[in-house]
Amino acid sequence: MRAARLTRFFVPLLLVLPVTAAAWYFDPLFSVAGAMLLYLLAVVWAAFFRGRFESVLTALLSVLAFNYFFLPPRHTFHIADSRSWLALIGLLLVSLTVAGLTARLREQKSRAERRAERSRQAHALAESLSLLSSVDEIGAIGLRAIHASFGMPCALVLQDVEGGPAMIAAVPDGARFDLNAARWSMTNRRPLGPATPDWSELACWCVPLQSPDGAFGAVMMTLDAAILPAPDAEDLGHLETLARQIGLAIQRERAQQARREALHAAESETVRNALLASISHDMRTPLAAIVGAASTLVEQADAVSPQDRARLLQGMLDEARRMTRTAENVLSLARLSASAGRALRTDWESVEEIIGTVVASVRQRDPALPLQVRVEPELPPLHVDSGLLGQLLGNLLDNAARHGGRSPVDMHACRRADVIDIVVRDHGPGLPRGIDPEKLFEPFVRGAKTAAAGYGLGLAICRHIALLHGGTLVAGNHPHGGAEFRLSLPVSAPVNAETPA
Amino acid sequence: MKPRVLVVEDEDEIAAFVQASLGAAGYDVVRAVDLRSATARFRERTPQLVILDLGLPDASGMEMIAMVRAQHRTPVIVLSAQTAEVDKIAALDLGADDYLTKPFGAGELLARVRVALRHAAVPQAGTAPVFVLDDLCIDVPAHRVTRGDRHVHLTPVEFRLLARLAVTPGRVVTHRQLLTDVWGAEYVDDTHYLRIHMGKLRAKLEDTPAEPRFLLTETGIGYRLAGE
Repeated sequence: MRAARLTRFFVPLLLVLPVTAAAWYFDPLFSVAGAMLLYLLAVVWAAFFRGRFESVLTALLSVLAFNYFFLPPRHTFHIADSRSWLALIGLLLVSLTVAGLTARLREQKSRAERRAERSRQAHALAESLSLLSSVDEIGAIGLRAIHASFGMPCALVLQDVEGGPAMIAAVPDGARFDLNAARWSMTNRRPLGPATPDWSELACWCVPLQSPDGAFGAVMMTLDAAILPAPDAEDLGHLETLARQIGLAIQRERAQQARREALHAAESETVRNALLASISHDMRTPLAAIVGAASTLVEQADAVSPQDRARLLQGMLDEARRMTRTAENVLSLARLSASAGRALRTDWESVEEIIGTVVASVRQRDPALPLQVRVEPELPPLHVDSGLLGQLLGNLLDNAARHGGRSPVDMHACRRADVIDIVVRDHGPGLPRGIDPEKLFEPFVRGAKTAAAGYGLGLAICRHIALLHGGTLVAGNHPHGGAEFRLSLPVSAPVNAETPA
Repeated sequence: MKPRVLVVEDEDEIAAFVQASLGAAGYDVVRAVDLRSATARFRERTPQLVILDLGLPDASGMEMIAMVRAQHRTPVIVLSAQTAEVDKIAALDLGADDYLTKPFGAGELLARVRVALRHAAVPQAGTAPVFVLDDLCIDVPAHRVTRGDRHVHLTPVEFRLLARLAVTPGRVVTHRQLLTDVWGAEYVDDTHYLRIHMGKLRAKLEDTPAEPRFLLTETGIGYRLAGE
């Protein structure tokens, strides 16, 4: 600061000295007018590159030096005649005028540059805010932008539940602000501080964040005279522009939040209905079969042949196992929809292992199913919930076994660029014609008596699990016949893929 | 003499089926319904095996495992619900020998009981250093693995992993135990090492790695080397 103030005096001195030397050197060639022009050049240079103060000082020094060295009688400040007076006054007036005009040009140029820079800042802020999805992040990024632009402490204030101002964030952390100013600004929906009609003596600006329903918050900035000596309407305008971006981003995020909540509520309702429908159908049928078989064995024990006895017992076991799987699906769906995905227990898992476990359990309960499995070697591990993924694949295999008309079932896993595809295909009649395959994934289509009936809750939970893992699950018919379900999961690199030997 | 099994289970329906199944297979079954009675029966009757439901009415089954392990090597098999992976892992790390997920069948139950009893019969210090199953032979001291007459070449990590499983054939070893024993305690969270090396090991040892015969996956828990 101090060095800068000293330079303001030195620059004119350093300019006038060489100009005087040059004029002195060329004096035999020039007339007095030549020296005058050289001094004028110095004044213009100072005005354009240094500013008003330096140019005026240069003008005064030039007049003195010109008088001393070049106006006869030389080497005195004595002014001999009226022509000399005229020349001197002429030089002074011209250099002051030129200095003024040039300095104004320079100021206009730097103001235009500042405006361009500020509008660039506002655009950049709008762009980065559009990527954020929480009010906290918007506050943090927005305040950082204001602080980067002005270099002074700032804060974001939002209405709390009682309607009063509550400070959400400040940059730098822990900066203190008078919340009464924010309250006034929010109530009156006007900015306050210097360059406004209100509280103009305050060393702080407060800009309300407005929505059609009123002000819902404010941005505050403490003014520091060492950084911004004369805060004007243009500075305030810039602050208001940045604050408006923050306000818009917060409103947008709040609207999205409300939409998400409404959607979640609607989804929970759908899930609840699906669960009820599933319990009433997917569980009642096996229960009825079990009760029927067991009561036959108890009440007609003597009349049942050994073959029927064995068949009834096997039926009870199969139905009970089917109910177990339904119960697992119901529980998973309830758990996942209640927690919106936070219940995932992810770890690095091997696709080969998950498939192996699922296939082993399908083979155990249905040894006669012609099931062929191919897993491409050296697939990368995936960051997934192995239990849920196993459930998904188990449901797909169950469907293939149940709707594929006992045709061979293929299960195939391979890598395709940045995804791993797991395809389950049967060679049966395929998906019902004339119905959108997407309908199969709706939570409950069985009771609706549509052509897609029979898939129950299983595919809905499959789709849900795929989405929670950032993947997709689509259904279709294979060109050579049979239904095909394709699960695609994104490959993500482990934090440290190198393994120590 | 018939091996004695203590069944600690508060739900009568499950206990009835376990008792019937074990009784039919020739075991002498003792039942307890809570931690207090289980502790008493354990002291009085000195069973050769404990089957323990983790959800007891008066305490967590974990206390029972700790109590048994404090003084005895009696094998413990825990019973737990489908979604309770965390409990199963905790029980195994605490010293339980194996687990069964409800619902389970009689076949599974008897197989686990046989493995646990056989294992308890072998003194811990002299664990068989040579493991043979079908045509797979793992000779731990000689660092030699063969399938039939074919020598299987393994990297040092793969061998350590396989040898660790071969120490307790038929028994599940948790991810944490494997990572600690093979890589070291600082690697307990690096499950992807385990996945990658297990995949390579299966590619070398199994005919169809996706449907392994020897190296079995216990989803969410760990691995076991097939025991019978």
